Amino acid sequence: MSQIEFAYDKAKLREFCLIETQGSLETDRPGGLRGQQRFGQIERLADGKVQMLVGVHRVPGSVVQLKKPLAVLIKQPPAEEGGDTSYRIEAIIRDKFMFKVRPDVILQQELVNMPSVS
Amino acid sequence: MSGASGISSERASLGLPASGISAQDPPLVLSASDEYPSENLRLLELTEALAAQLEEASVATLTVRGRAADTAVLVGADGAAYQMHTAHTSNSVYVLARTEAGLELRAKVSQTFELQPTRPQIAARVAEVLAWDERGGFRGMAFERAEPSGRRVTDAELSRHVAGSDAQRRRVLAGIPAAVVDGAWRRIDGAYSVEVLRLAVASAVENDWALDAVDARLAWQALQADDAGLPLAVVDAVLARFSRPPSGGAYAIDARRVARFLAELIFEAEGARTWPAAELVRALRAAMPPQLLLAEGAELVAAWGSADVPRSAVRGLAYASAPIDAHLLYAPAGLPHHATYLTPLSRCAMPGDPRSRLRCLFAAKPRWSRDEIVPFMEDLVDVDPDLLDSADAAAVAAVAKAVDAWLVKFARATRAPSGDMVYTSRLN
Repeated sequence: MSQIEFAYDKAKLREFCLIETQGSLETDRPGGLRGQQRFGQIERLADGKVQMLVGVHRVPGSVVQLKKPLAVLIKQPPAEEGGDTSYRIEAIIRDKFMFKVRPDVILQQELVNMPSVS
Repeated sequence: MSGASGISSERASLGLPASGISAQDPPLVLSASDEYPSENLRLLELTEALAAQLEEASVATLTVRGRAADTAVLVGADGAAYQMHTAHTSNSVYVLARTEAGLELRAKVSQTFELQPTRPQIAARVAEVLAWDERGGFRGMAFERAEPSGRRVTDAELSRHVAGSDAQRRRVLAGIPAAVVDGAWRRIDGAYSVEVLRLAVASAVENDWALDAVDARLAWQALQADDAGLPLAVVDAVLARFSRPPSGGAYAIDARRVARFLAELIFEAEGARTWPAAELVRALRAAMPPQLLLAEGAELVAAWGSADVPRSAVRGLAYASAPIDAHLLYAPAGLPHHATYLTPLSRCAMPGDPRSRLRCLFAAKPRWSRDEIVPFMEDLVDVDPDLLDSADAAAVAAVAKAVDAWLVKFARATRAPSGDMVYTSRLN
């Protein structure tokens, strides 16, 4: 009989959020996105919506309420070898950043300033 | 652009700092952690009730139990139980943690765990765990002294090995019946339970105690003469098993519950053979404590017809059939007593989901009337069994609604020559 515990401690809650996209976040760098710093940003627009910029892609989106709250669970190492599996509830999330359209390609400033080829 | 307070509340609901972001705030910079994509991160969809329980508590634990062959069951702090299912996400979902620099990508998830309220069918598992005690059922102090050792099934062990909430386990244990003897749970042997009841009832009559207000302690003291050292917990468990829900600490012995328990024992002892109704009635009458009368016409009547079976002491334990034209079975009044045969069929031994349960029922008997099939499905509905037993209108209506929905989904209705609706299977 297996038993798994999900432990909740209000004092240890952290801040998490979700991003949902139709596409996926990818890079052609070796090692993928792991450890990549400052690969993109999310900013609030004047009309209250949000947009995400990743490389040459810009995708508009919004903040959407989740139908049901989601708990973020992080697996904990067992207290002893062969011990029960347990998770810690890190956060309870009630909304997400939703980007459900295809991204636009934007020209980055350094590309605009390149000399033309005649 | 929203006002600052609107943005602040929206930002707070994202689990981000309440200082909020606006168009004037710097963008949230995206980075990825060194462990991305983490394999140790999961998303669990909560009900509002569960989320509220967690958020109101400083510290809480949700427990998931299940064997490899079972559906995992999550039990909340209030004892409510939920089946866990996996739901795949069609879009890409990323989980990010807030850092000083912005947002740090931690994991990409392709599925979430969803919860569905459930009443786990744990009776068979409880019986299985109690059977780990090699001594078998508790049969009195003389037997205990002769067989003192056995594997002790503690409350903690039951909790660990049986999915479901504490309240659900306690209800199953009470129905067996079982009691804590010397710190460990013991199933009380069926025949011994009846013997304890018989002695308790005899003591009650002898001492002019009302059978609808039996004091367990007084009954226990009286039983010491027959079984010195008998634990009070055993007497309590037996009286509770055969009584309506107690009030004021006294037990109201319910002849119907006694008859039903005896019917189970009789069927168990004789295997799957078919019983002429008259023969079962005689066997029940012989086994019942003589001081108890059954509410079916103030005594155990010898005139059961097939239409009476769903409302009788064998409700959910047997179905009626007859070695004559089947269509007569569905006549409004049912078949007369002498033509009714009873075939044991216990719902407790059947699967716990409606589809599989109906498949079992139609395999046993291809045509069922609604009145016949409801007793075999009602334990799958989330209503208090005591309320249902007392014919509470709301409980009966809830069962009717659920069973009708399952019949629409899994059965085909046709009209019998008698005019009644009968159901056949449309399951593969």
